[in-house]
Amino acid sequence: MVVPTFNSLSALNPVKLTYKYASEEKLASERYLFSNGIDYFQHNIFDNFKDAGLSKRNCLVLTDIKDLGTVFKNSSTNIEFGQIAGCVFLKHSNGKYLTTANGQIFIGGVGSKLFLNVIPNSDGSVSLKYGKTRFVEFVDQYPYPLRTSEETLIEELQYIRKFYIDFAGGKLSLKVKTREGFRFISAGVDRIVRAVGLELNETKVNPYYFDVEFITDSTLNHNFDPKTKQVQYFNDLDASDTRKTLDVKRQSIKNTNLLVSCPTTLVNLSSNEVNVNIALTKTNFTSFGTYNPFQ
Amino acid sequence: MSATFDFLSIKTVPSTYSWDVDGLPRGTSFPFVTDSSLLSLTSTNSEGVEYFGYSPFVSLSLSSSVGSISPSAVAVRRITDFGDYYNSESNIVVSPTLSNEAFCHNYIMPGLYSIKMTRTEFILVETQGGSVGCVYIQPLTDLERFPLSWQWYNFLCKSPSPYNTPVTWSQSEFQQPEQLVWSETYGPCYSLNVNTSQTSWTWNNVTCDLTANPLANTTTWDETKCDAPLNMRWQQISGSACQPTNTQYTLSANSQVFTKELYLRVLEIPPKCYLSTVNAPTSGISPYTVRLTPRYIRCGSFPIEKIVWDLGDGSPLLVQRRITPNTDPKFVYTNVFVTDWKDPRNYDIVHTYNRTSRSQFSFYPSITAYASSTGTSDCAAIVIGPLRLPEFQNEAVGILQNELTDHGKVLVGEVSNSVALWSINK
Repeated sequence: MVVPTFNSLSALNPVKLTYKYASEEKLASERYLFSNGIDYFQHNIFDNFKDAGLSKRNCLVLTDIKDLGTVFKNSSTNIEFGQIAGCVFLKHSNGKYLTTANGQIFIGGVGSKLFLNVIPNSDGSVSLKYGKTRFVEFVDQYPYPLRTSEETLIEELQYIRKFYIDFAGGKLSLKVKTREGFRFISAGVDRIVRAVGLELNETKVNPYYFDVEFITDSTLNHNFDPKTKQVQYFNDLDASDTRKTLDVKRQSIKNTNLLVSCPTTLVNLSSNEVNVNIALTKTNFTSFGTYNPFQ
Repeated sequence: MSATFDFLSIKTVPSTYSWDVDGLPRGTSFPFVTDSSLLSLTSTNSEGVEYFGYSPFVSLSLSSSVGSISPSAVAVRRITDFGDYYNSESNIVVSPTLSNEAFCHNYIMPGLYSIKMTRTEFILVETQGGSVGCVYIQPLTDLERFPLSWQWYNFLCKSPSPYNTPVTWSQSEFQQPEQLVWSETYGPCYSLNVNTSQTSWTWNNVTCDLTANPLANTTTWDETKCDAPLNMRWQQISGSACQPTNTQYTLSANSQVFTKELYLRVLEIPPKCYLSTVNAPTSGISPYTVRLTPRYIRCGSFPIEKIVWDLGDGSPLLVQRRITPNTDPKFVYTNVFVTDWKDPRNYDIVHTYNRTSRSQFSFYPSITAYASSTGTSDCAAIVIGPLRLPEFQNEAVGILQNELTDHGKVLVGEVSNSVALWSINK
């Protein structure tokens, strides 16, 4: 006698799908939970799907014609300056560069331009290195002048070489943690660089935002930009140079239906996400089997 | 009688001051605190007392008398250094007078300040007999450059003089060979008193006769033009005031320093952070869209420079800065602070909270507001929730197929014209 097993709706564990080949691309999805216990992931790729089924331990879904840009989650990441290392010159709001002479740091003057290597620390601060061996540090005694030094510091004094960067819109501020609290790096009328920044909205007594002249890249952009394109290569007799290469003559977006599959053996309670395979369908034939030339 | 340098008065904003609420601390109607008994504490410094006030405004005044002066002194100079490297333009105050003076300075930034006054008496070391010259001749043996004001009073001498060499603007710039700074535009006021004679200067004539009409020998700008009958040139004044070289004077300086160590403490009033919703309850049905506002954040001593938003559901942090507006679509500009459009508090955030089986019933967004110039911060949080789950209404749900696996069962279904997968444990 067959004894049926009853499960409540809340016993249904929603499965989230992802595309994981070479690198991981997240499928765009939203999770929905309702008061009656229904819990599921709605993946953009399956909206208005054509058909779905299970066969030989595989789940297969034929989707609608889809733009790949809507199928995957926008995972662009911008890693800003301060989180990545870089080399810069800093320019004061008066147009003069930060310079150094005899170990001191000035705004303008006869010293050489201060070429800074910005090195991120694990605690969110950065160290500023000058040359091969010298570091920029502040003297923790009011008025907190800056200097370059190559002395080795004990652990307790490492804080004098820690700077906290705020970078946005091409402007950068540096602050240090003094015994009186945070102070911003700037200079007064004598143009000696100290932690004496003072700005009151539009009144810049000692401006502490510097213009940054990047020697290295200012940001690192990590992105995934999926598109379904149909490309045409050069094959004309007249194009003697390009017909031997893979230069693209024309290209256009040609969204297609997608065939999504995943092994059901991967679906279990402990799996947070299940890998799927995605195949583009249709080439240059229409659904009726006639030739669909490149347009 | 010796010189003095003593406390005169102090003026500051009240401890409840707020940058944008109370406005700039100025004018006669502003409620300054001026009672020095309320603004002083016992201290272990040499004065035994420490004064205090609140950012962004503490005005400290000290009085000074020059005291007894040596009979051969020709000038006295008092320079007060208020020890303020933040408001440094007015940090050094110079007085070349002999009268009682009040030295004042406005402090803006928090800190503990020491003040120093240097009183310098310039004494004529040797004098020659005969008439006293009407102009000071710099000693030829000492090529030390005298302050800028002397350059203005130095006229070209017909006889060779090392100080006839002009100083160009670029030579006088910062860290250049002949660097000159305005703060050094002082000097012994030799021109005011030379023994018993007074010197008055007119446009192109030097006269030692104070009773002469000071305007008698004046010349207008138009009269100095080349095509004017009485045209004047700078070189014409050379030699008219240079004394015979056989008269040489030497000055020496005698300084006395008055120091008030750790004398003034300026305290910061921190900002107060508030976070609230706009026209909506904090609980509802998931997914719940709510508008969060920072407009009630209260400034302390300094304006708000940056606000960091943590939406409390794992979303990335969002930062709104005064210097560069963040145009993320979550931000909604409100223009609440119409006189300060760059204020980060002008931006609300609209966010949708989704309650899932793995999330809590409630979410706890928070903000941290940072003051300018000091980075002093305060934070505030709010509770969004509890969020109820939505009713499952009018949604088409169907199970298409299912399959037994080693782990249990896999179901393929359709919800709202989309495919969904579920697993059921064995």
